[in-house]
Amino acid sequence: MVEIGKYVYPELSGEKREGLSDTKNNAHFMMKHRKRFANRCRWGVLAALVVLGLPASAQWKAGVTVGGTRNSLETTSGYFYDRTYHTAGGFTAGAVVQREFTNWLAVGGELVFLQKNYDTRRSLFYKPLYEDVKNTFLNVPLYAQFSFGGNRLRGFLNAGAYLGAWLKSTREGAINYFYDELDPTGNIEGVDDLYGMYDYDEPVAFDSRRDNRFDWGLLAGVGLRYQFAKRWEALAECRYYHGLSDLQKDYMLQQVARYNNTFSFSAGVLFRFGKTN
Amino acid sequence: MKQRYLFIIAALFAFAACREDYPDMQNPRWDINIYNWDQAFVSYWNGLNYNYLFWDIDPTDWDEVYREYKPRFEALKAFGFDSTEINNQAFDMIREMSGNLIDHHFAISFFMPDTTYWFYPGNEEVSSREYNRHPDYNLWDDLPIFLLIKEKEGRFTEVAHNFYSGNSDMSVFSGVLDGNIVYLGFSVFLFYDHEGTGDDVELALQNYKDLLDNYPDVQGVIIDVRSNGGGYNRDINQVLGKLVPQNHTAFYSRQKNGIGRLDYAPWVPEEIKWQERTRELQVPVVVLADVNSVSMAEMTAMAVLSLPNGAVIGERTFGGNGSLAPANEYFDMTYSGFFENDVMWIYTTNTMSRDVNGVIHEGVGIPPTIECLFDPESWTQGIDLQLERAVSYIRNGK
Repeated sequence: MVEIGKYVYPELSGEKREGLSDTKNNAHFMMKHRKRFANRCRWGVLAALVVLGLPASAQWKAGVTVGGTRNSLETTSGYFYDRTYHTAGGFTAGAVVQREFTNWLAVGGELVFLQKNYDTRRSLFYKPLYEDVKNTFLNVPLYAQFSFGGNRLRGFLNAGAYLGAWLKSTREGAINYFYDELDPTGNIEGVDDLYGMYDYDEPVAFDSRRDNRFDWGLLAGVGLRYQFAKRWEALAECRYYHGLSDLQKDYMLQQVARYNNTFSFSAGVLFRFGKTN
Repeated sequence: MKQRYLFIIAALFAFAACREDYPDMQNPRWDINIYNWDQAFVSYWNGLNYNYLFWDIDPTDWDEVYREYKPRFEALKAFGFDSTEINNQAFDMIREMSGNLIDHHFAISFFMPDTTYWFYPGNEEVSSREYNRHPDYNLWDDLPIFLLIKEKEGRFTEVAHNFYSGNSDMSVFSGVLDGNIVYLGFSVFLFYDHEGTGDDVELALQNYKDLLDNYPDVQGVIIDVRSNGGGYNRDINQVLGKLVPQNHTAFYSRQKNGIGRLDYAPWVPEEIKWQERTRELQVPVVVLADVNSVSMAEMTAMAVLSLPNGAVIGERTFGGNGSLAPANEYFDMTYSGFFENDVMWIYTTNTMSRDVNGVIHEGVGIPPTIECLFDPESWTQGIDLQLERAVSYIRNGK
């Protein structure tokens, strides 16, 4: 009887050659019957490819990336017309692990700190009122990477999804006092001519009734990587995170949802483990 | 294989579209298409859903209100506003669903063809308080007479005053009580309207400031805001500006800053602005307050309690601590609070407040340092026990 992994082929046991170890017998069997084996085990092998990454040619790569983000809040101002939400920049840094199966297919997983910031603005008379919000997330993107090009310089496309957590929120802005009313003598051009302004820069305490700190969504990215040494690659990527979790829990009827749309622009290095060609 | 890829791409797009749609939002200030109680309910409910400031602390489950009352108002849809019986029934439901809203400025009015409905839930709550011995009685109906009697008796000197009348919008008294206690009492915070007029209100306020600066022997200060209905925020500087050693954070206020019920701007430290003076008075400052002291009267009590030498004597106050700009035109300022349309008038505040210790007194009132309840029996005999208690506190320190 020949046993390969968990697959047992009693009908082929007669082919076991005397004098060879089980391992060599297995290899001999696999070589001789590879087509038959492949047909019978196709789905199992595919599952193993994806889940366990068993192919002998697969290689591990690990590295770090840093870069910037541009995030916008997808929501509506409703009838609060001149309160508008604007794109804001931020910071990102992460650790990358990739498993390369072929020279064109890999899967990757990352642990990434991302700032998904946005700015709130008013206009005209209320222009002095503003708020810049900085939200820090820890995301775990999982993706498939399809690469193309030459041996050293290759382009790639990433597609996948991410899970994460909203770690921290701060805000900086200006709002009018209500008890500090001014007596303007000249033209009144803005709310700051009528009231003293309070400038703030503070952490925002999460409100467990409102804030949804679980983050998930889809991602897609495009980039270049360059092998500059035997085991080292440099990479640059532009990635889009499409948030599918509302920043708020479902805490009120007629709620206006808020989603993050985040572009990240990152660069980094990857180290290739194992045998190299 | 090609079809499989197309399916995967379509599935990704479907995922990407998995975002909630936005609700229809009608600004209640411009809601002109209200022809029946169902529409009125929706306008009112949504108006408070997005504009009311106190959802952070309010005990009312506004979602449950919608689930319970929407079908009941829908059932009245066919009647329009023409039936008095239906209108009565519908407004009773409005009262039911609004009765526990914590904003104690909150009042509503609905304009029907046959009548105008009115509801002030905070006032009903205050009237039912066990310690409230003078619901609907404003002390300023009689307090001026008491003070004039004291003046005649010689207990109240250096007096300047103004009476509320058809020609004047506030009563105010200032002077010296029992030889060395500076007293300022007034019915509303409308000093700002009188600045530069030279009228009796301004003179009474100026007299108070002069006494603080120049009266030879000041042992204490009493600021009497009993039954005071509030008024201008800025008046607080006129009343307390000479009693703080520098600009002084007296309490905090907060506005909304988003559409969500719990979207708030930061707590803003509101300051009493230091005013020019000839000396620093290191004496007890007492606010006399009662259950009918509301709004700016309460903010004054809150401010004085933030002073090391401050105390509040009297009763737990009304519990309406916000600021209010009662006109649709002010909506752009805070994007919350008051709104009105052809059918309804919703009086609710634009800011909420908390004291320097972080306590929100909305709907509850400011507890006095020393409780001294209004005594109707003594009052009818011309004895003002609360004022006497304040004098005693300044004399004895307890």
